[in-house]
Amino acid sequence: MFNRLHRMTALIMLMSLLGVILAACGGGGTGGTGGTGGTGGTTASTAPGGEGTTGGAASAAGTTGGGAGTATTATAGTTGGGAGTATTATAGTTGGGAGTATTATAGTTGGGAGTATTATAGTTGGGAGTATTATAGTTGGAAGGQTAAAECPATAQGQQITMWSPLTGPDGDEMTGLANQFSQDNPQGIRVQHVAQPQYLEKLNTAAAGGALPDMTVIRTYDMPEMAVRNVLKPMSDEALSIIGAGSGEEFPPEAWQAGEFRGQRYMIPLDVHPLVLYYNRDMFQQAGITMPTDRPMTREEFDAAVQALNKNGVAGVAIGTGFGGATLFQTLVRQNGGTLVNEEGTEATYNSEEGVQALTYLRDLKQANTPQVSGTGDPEVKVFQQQRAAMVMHGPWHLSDMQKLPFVGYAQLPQFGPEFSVWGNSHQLTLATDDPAKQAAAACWIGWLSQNSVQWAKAGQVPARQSAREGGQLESVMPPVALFAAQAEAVEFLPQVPGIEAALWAQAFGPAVDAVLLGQQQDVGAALDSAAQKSNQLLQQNAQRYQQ
Amino acid sequence: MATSQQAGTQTIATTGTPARRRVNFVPYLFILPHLIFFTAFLAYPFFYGIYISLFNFDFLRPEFRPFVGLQNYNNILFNRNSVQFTDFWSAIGNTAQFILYSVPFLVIFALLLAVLLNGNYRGRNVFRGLYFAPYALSVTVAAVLWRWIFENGGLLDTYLTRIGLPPLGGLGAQPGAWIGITVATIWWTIGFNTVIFLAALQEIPESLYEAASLDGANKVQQFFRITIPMLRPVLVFVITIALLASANLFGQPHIMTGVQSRVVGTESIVQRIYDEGIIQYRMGSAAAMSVSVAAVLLLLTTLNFRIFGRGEQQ
Repeated sequence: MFNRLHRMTALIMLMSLLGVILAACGGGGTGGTGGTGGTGGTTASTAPGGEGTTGGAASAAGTTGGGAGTATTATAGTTGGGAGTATTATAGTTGGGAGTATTATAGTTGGGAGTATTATAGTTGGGAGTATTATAGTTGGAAGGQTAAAECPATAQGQQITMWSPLTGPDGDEMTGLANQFSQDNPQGIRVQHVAQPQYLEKLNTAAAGGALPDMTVIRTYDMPEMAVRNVLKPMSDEALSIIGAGSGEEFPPEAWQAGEFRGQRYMIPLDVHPLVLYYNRDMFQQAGITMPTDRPMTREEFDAAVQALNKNGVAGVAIGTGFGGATLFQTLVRQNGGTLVNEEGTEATYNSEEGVQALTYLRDLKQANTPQVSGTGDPEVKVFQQQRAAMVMHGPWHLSDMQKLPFVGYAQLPQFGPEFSVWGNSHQLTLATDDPAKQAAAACWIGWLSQNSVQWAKAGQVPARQSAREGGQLESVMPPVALFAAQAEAVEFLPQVPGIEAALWAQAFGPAVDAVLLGQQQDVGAALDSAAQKSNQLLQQNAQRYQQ
Repeated sequence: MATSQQAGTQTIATTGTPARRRVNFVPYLFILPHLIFFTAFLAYPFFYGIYISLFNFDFLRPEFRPFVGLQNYNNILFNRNSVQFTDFWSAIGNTAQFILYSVPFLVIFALLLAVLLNGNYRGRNVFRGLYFAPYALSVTVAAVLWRWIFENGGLLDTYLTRIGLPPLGGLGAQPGAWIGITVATIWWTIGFNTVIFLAALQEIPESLYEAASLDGANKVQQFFRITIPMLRPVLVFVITIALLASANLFGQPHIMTGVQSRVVGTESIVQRIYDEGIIQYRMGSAAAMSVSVAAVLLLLTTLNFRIFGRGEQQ
């Protein structure tokens, strides 16, 4: 019996040890490249709303600024006319708008065609609203006066798109809602199914090995290059890019847009930017007689004074955690001090500079004076703040939905500690994992729509990456604190897009070093950062070798 | 033992009829289902693991897969300047610590519990069920549960402070992290060992205890002179199982100390392998770690059987 038992246990052991690694490695191989697909067909808008006004003359409106109302055949004026509910409505040549009509033709210059069966918007800057067959303006028009119409080719017709995301919190429900809305509203019958996946990258890897990748994904900025070089993500075709209509990224924060490009090809379109923000306890500020932060960042002096005044009676001035919280603040401070994390080529760590040492020393002292005990996973520093045991906390904007349940929370931009204003942040970006042209086209239609309507995404606490969604006071109506955070979107700096750079710098190197210093395990800040930087450099070198072309 | 005797008679029977050399396929058919699964899920991955440990390997990059010989082994075992070296050895150290903390409890507590549950009293089946119940949970459930209790500002610290004791300080620092993980592990897995002990205890003939009590042996003497010797084979088995289970520590620190495991000092060797292979895509290096650790555990298991199982094998 014992020999058998002996052997059996030995085998059980081997199996359990190797199982994890080997099961994953057993897959091997990646899918081939897809076939070809046609383009062209009728172009149609997916944007809601129309400019078409009702009222005005019944049959034919004046030549200048007329409006054709409910009529069978309505012709609006040549300059700025509007054709209302009509069977055949022709809006003016300059800035006209055709309303609910069977066949509506909007003006040649800046017109808008509303709910119509066949709506043709202006050639220059026109916009076609909810229509079965709608042609938007050739030069970036806006339907419904707000959103530009994305052209969606016939190949996209009726495609089913699966989309994965790491959005497992309430933001995932928000995304599912948007996907459902698009699926219902788009005239091409494209259906988007959104699935939020925990253990996101592991899932993508397994799916890639098993040939079961989704058509598109939401991915965090720094995961793209490694996933691209590992054949998981596919570059966006020129056709897909033209459908999305993001041009050369004028509408996006330059750094976030730049991060979407890798080895000369575009892989991602920014959806949002999520910078660190400051949450503060309004009641405590009031009681201590401290001026509340306004719409500009607090200065270091103001911040330090506030911390000192608030840090009493068992309440910490500010809650500083470890892990994610510590590491993101460290990065922010290094850059605010004028330092960098890595050289421009992404080949050598630079965070062990004088600026880096100052940043970490300041952070450690701040933590030691306020919340020396707070550490561990699950963002305990945020909990400490929510339990009113700390007056401030600096963390990601995704806590917004929880924070809004607490009446005492105030929102502000991150303070400016150094000479520069820089904030740690990341970005959710939209990428393709399919190279089937029809799927890419359909996914591009959805990405275009999502980008246009990304103001809705602010409900999830995220700052929309698209400028048009951030401006014009729309954010205030959707989610007021996000409007405040949005001012920081341009202050977010990104790392150079080198495969595996974030892990080589952060998770494997300065992350543990920062924690060791913050927890008082390591007293010598300079030495801690130096040895971390050495490790980073080795990993960057290894990555450069294994990810060369 | 009964099985080896049967095997012996069979051997004699076949050698007794040397004329027939025909191969009998029936026994092989009986083991075929197991053989298929064994080959597919054990033998093949095992040898494939050894194979990939000799490469710079990423399963999604077939285009870049250079043969590196024993370099992966050299990096983790001997090359002090490699990034892999320090993390690998600190993970080994952490796992060894955990084995020291958990195995004695998992064996001794399980034995004591089994003795208690073996008594003759009302409701003992309820207790047997209760003590075994946590084992039916997944590691995630058990770990999340205990994280809530042990985490910074969690249940434990809240109540400790309330009764005027100093808090443990959560899972973000020692000794809280190891205490939390060890307690969670014991609570979660002790039921399994207890059940094995319980089954073995019921096998011990009552007559031995009766004879001993007639000779005037008290309960303690009976325990050490009868129960422990009679349990010896099972004891070896339980120690081995507990040792291997502890060496495979993964889920508890993965959930309870998470990404901070390395800083806190609870990163186990399996976590390290997971991080190296699945998170950082250095699968060759991770496979080399697996193979090295497997070799060590094989050695430990053999030693364990040699030392504790001596004299039991004939």
